[in-house]
Amino acid sequence: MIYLDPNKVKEIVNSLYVSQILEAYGETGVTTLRDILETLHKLFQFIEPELVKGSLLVFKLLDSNAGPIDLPNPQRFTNPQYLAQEYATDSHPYNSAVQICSNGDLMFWKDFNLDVTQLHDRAIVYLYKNRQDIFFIRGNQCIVPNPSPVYASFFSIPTFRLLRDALENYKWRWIRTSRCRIFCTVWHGGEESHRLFFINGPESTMRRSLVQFLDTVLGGIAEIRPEQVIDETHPVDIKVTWMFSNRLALVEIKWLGKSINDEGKIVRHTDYRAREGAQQLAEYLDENYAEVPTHQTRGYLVVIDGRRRGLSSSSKSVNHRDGFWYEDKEITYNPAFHLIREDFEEPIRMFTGPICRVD
Amino acid sequence: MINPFAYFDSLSICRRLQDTLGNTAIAEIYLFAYLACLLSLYKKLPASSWEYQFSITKEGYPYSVALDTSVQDHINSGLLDSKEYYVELTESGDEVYNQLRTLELNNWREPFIEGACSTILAMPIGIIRKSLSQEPEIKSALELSQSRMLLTNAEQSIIYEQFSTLSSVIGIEVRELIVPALVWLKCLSEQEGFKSGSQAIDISRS
Repeated sequence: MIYLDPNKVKEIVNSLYVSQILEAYGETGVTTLRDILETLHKLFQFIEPELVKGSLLVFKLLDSNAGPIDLPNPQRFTNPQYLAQEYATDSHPYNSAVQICSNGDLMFWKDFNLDVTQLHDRAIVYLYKNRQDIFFIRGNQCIVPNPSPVYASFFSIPTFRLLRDALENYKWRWIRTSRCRIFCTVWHGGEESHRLFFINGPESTMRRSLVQFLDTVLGGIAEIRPEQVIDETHPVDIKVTWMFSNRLALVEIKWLGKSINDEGKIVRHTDYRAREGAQQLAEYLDENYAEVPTHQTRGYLVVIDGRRRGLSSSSKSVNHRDGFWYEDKEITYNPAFHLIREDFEEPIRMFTGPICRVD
Repeated sequence: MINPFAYFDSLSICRRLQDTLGNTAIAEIYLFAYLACLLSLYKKLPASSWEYQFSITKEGYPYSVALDTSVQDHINSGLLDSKEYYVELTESGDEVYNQLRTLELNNWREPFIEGACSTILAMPIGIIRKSLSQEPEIKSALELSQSRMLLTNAEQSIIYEQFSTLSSVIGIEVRELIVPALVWLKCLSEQEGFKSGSQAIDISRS
């Protein structure tokens, strides 16, 4: 596409909250919106939106001379971190609200009972409720689409600076309960299955899931490429290249557990597979060093652990004890490359849980 | 020789990104400087008025020699602290930035830099970069896997054409440039080629 379709542009302008705020409140509205967005990012660094009960309102008055609104029992904070601590200490804040004052202070109400419609005309109003980000624009609700709803709020989608941190986040948010729409298709029986067996050859799907995740959260600084040839035998699953630096990461993915094909044939991958993966990754690192010795390359072994205890080809469900038998069973590596090589990161095992029957 | 505009822009961008991200990757300085330059085209300024040029790498990343030189100078003179491939504005860097921003030579650039950097409040950087990779020049360079200069005369006309369509809907007089920036990035991201490629829209279960 070289030329923009004016109708498409109008469609986007009419749906995007930023342009809607410009239309409804003018430039002052957008300037005020920026203050709200900055505060949201800071708040959600310390308040996990997933743990917000009820709702959280954040607003700023358009009149820069206006003070805090006249409601009882506000608490004043100069730092979002301290507000978040206060929020967290109370297990039952239900309908809380934060007003951003003109001097940057934050007024916090734990129980906010003002009708939001009273603010529409004089403030930019944001509401977080039920995993939705909503702006109230002259009485209309404008919901912000979330391209990655594993994160409860669009404004809490992180940018990671360290690959290790990103992988840890992926482990707990995306894989633990198979939240990723791509990843959840690795289960035999699909999204509605009890997650006992993987499909035949789930590797490519797992790789695609991790590539998509890293693409979003590693910011504008790294190139994420799947299946990159390192040697003649097998491509490494993912290669991460940081732009304008000599840094590289090679990510190898192995899965543990059982897969089942349509004929009912089971393939079993034990912890041996993880050790095999570690050996493979060490060889990739050696090959890579031979090719590009000036690069700083680091190897990451990701082990997707879908093991369940006592599964047979006829198993249709699993109890909690057997389903989570391997939850904390870490893998012993021998050799432990992460202890003897400087370029080998400690392997990350990502246990992915089943849906268990109630016994 | 240090380009004074790149010298200022790199400090300004670090200042703004640091508030949200904590530190800045050098690739991000190039990315947002390029986006700021494009926003000046939205206001119908010629690309030459930005006073330094950009090229595109084979991987599709905007790059600027002038910015690169300035960043290295900032690191050497203590205005930026370099840690693990990221940079942070030091106290001295902040002071120098605050002095430079008052100069007429520099302060006209701030709304464009502000507009560009503010997009990270409304979009993950990964999506910003992927959207920008659909910009006609960058997309063409990526498809041919070639590095070359950006914003040549012929290519500027395409950008002006796109922005003309944009401004006919939003208005060219808009001061808050985050608005045309986000609308344009959204338009780019919704092109067919982007949807079929590797990107993060709608990949998670609700």
